[in-house]
Amino acid sequence: VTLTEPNAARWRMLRTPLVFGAVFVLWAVGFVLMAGGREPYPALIQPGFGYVADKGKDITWVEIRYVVTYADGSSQGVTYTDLLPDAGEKAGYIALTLLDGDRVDQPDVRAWLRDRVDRLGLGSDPVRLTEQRVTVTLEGDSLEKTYGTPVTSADVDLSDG
Amino acid sequence: MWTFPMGEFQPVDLARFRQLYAVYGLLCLPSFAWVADYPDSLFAPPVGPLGLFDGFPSAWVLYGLEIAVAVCFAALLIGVRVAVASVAATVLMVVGYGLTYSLGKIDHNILFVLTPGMLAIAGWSGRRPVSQLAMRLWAFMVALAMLSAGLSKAEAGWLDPSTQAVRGSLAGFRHVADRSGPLADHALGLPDWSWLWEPMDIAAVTLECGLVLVVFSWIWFRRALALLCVFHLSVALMFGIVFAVNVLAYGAFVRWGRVTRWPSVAAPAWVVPALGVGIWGVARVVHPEPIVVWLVVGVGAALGVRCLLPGVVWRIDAEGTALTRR
Repeated sequence: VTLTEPNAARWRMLRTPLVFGAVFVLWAVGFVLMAGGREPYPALIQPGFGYVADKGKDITWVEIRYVVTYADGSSQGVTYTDLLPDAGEKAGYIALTLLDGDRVDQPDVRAWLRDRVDRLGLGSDPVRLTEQRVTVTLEGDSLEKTYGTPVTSADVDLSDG
Repeated sequence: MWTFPMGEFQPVDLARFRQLYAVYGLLCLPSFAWVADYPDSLFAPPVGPLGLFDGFPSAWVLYGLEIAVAVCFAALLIGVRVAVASVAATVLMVVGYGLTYSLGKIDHNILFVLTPGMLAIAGWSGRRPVSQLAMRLWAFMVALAMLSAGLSKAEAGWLDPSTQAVRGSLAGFRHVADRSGPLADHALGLPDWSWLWEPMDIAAVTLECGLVLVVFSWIWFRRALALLCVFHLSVALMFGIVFAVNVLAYGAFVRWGRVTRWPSVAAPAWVVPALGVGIWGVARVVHPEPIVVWLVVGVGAALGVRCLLPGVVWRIDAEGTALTRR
């Protein structure tokens, strides 16, 4: 397509605001999606670290833990860093949604978890992996840490994994 | 109306930054292959092009991606087929990182990932005049990215005097997530006074939101980036979050041709794949990243402080004015 000179001049004039405007619109769409909990990628987004503590009040956090139960009835606590050593610093975040929804019923997830537990070498014949969520509370002034009662959030049958 | 002061960046500025970027990239090569071990039922791509995949590729495909990225960085270092290597590096990193983010956690290294593609448009090969407009667009994109962080903080209540966001985050990182920098305990040992902690909340939001306001003045934009470099060092020292990728990305706006001289790397094209594969192999064994990221954040903060010193700022002003008049 060949632009006539007036059109070419008009395009040169509009090109810069159009490009900047398009980038802004793309950024805004990404930001709105992120604010709605569906962060896109790639997108011009940086972390907000929205963790805010009201002055004088306690700070609460949710921590994921796992318990492996063996065929002989014994059990062993496992951390997310034990289970996801290859994820590095991301392990804690990945653990938050790792066993959400119907994932625990998927054969490939059960087989994978069985393999991960076997690799830990803590015992033979694991039959169950239980995911627990523990509310951790930091007292606002003293920063003393207390743990709430663990709540089971997922239960995975490893026996036929 | 839509023109900006020209002549700020010279080809040598961007070419030297390209070499710096490539050296960092080769020392801190991305790792994608670990995600191949995860089952496809855990594959949950973020909104975007990663939705074209329906599961994690095999380890060999991901190793291939890692090697290809390393070869691209080697090409950028030596200056061979810079445009192709730049675009390929950005595309390959978007795919590789995007696959690892499909486990539910997005790392925010997007400025590092987009740098080669954007600076290829700006002309960081060093062989043609720099597109000042592309540099301004890249500055705008960096500012928008920082604005997203600032707006998120403001929306979460960081500007509310009754909240202590920095202290709360620091306590959470230190005592719950078990992650902290060398000064975390010293900082948390300070009294819980609003007038002491609240300015940190306000400063973080102001800095991140304010960058977009100075994007059309190189002098003020560079001053803001200098402050951000100091900000990143303080975050590293307190939170243990060493965000070297951003500090490196800000380096695109430094006139490296004025800062120092170093020899250009010149080697035949056949060296590129050998260098890329060789360094990829060494990096997977040695893992120099923990040292390199602290070095980048430390040097970035030192350059930032130097830029903010009154005498140096005056000199940069004077040079900027002289350039604009030329």
